[in-house]
Amino acid sequence: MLDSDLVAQHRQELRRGSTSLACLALLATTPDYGYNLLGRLAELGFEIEANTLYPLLRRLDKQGLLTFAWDTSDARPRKVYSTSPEGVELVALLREDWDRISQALHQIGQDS
Amino acid sequence: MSLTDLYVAATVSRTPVKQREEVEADLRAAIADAIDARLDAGDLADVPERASALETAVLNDLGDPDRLAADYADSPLMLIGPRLFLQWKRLTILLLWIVLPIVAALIPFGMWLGGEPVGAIIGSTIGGTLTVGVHLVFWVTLVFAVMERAGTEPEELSEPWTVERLKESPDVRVSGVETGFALATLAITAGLIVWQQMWPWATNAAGEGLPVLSPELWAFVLPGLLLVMAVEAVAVIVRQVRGRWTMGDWWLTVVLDVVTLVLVAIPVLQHDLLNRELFAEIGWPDANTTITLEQAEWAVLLVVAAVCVADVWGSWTRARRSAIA
Repeated sequence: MLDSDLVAQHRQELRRGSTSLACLALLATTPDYGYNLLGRLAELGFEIEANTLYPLLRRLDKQGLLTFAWDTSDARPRKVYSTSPEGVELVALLREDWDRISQALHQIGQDS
Repeated sequence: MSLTDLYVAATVSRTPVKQREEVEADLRAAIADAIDARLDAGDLADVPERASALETAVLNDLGDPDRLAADYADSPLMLIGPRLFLQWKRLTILLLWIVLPIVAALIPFGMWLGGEPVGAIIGSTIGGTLTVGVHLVFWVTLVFAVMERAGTEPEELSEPWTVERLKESPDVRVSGVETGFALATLAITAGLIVWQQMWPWATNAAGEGLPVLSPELWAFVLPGLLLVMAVEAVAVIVRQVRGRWTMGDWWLTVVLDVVTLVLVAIPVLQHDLLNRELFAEIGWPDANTTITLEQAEWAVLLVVAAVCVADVWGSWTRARRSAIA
């Protein structure tokens, strides 16, 4: 029987990195603010805590992969992020890598 | 001030000044959005102070403000990370090995020249060596913590690892030189114990020989020590035949060292290690020195203790290096 902690640890390692890719890809289709993005990620099965997502968005913004504008239409001002052209370029690159890895993993199963 | 105000203030106070305004607005919106979402979802609908209960729940989810601030600022939550850890460890151990023996030798030497009493010399040597060791570890760690934050790469501190380094690692096999040295030391020590009794170099007025160690010790302590040395000699030979150290060797070493220490400590505590008759005959310690025989006995015990500790430590490192799980 697999130890659930062990599974959680390996899952976390596997998912690390995919979250930022998912954020960039989601924000490339529709610009959004932090809390709403959290919900969209959860719907797609990406489990990420608010206290991880907000610093992550800030980091991606510093790296020039995201841009943001303050949305003041609501009662409280919110940062609305969208993926920059560089971010879109990176998403395309990383997607190719992801597909290659996924293909390779499938192949391993079929060869043996 | 509301809980949110306190939380935001705690986070922002640990954020770089330039980012504060932005992080504060971001965080307030995040907290308010999370509370609204929970209100809409109907969380805690039957709790009387619902708004503040939801606020508490959201802030608990966000967690330690120090951690959040560090994540926002992208600053490391560790003193020295895995990139530099090995370099830090090696340098710290190397410096301790070089500096501490020098300090431990210089302090007593200097105080001895200054004519300080033995007790003060021992106390200052232990205290001074400890102080220097603590300082050394602290300053090396501080420099590495700064380098960690400055983003220093390990390649800047030392050459990359190559197989050449393997040759520098100690051999785990038991060498003939090591065995020969251990047997010679045991033989000489046992020989000295017997020799000082059988062929004493001083005699009293009646022409009887006066050994250095109290003759009373032959009742129990000295035969005990000789027995310990015999067991040790057998263990050394068995180890040479086997070719490597085991954890069993280490346990045996610990037991033999503890027994040795106890055997030497008993006469020291009873002020009966050195032969009082001999020292009365040769007239030492005389008026020119402040040293007493008790202090000399304590010094002998300290030397024996130091040798035992070094022995336990040395056999631990060897046994651990070559032990097969």
